[in-house]
Amino acid sequence: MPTLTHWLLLSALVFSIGLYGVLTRRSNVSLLLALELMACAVHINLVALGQHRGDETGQVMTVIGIGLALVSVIVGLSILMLMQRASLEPHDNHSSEVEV
Amino acid sequence: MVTFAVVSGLICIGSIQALRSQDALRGTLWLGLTFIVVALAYASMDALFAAGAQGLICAGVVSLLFLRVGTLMPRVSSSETVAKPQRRIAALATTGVFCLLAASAIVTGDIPQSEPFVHQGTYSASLERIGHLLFTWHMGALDILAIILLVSAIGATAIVRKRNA
Repeated sequence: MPTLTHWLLLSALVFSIGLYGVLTRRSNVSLLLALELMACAVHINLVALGQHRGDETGQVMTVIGIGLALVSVIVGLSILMLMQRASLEPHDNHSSEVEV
Repeated sequence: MVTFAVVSGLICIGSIQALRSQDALRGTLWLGLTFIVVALAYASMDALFAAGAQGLICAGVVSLLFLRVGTLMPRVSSSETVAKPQRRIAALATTGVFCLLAASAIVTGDIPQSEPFVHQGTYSASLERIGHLLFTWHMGALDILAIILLVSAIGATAIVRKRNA
């Protein structure tokens, strides 16, 4: 039966894979994917620790963390879309300014 | 133990493939698979509420958002998305050192090595305790999360709003 150590080791491995992606990928979408992987590793940690303690605090923290990861994806992808749109537009003095 | 081996193998393969994919769409599909398997991992730990949240929000909403943006992104060559070999070697060394340090801290640390997970009764009782925790002890965090979600949704809508001609 898997113990807490197994889950923590798995979490460290997934976090390392995400860290490698953050350090090496140059595409912004891939960077966001790697950040999501790192957040996922933290959530595995929280759930494993909470379940091992025998209370639900880990699950509550995980749900709040998932919400925060969703916020980061929303903001990051909207900024990416804005950058993509700005790169496709012709460069003149008026249209190249980013309108918020 | 077999379940843990299968789940951890699938999570690692999905993570690596999500980062290896040159195409954003393919990477997103691998990430979605990884999120689904992580939800199964939560379920195997009897954390059904977190598994549901992971399946619905991460595997559902986040993957759909990535898919939507991935369809809008132009295809780029591998030389534009992959770092130079020197940087990849440095990143691999950094990641390896971090992974070894974390593993040694976990193995040699003061963590109970052989105790199994505590079973917490029925799902409805667990759900009741989660609701109690969310709306009493962690009410402030939930409020702040709701405000941040609302502000980010409004901000994202304002950012991607089409400009008037």
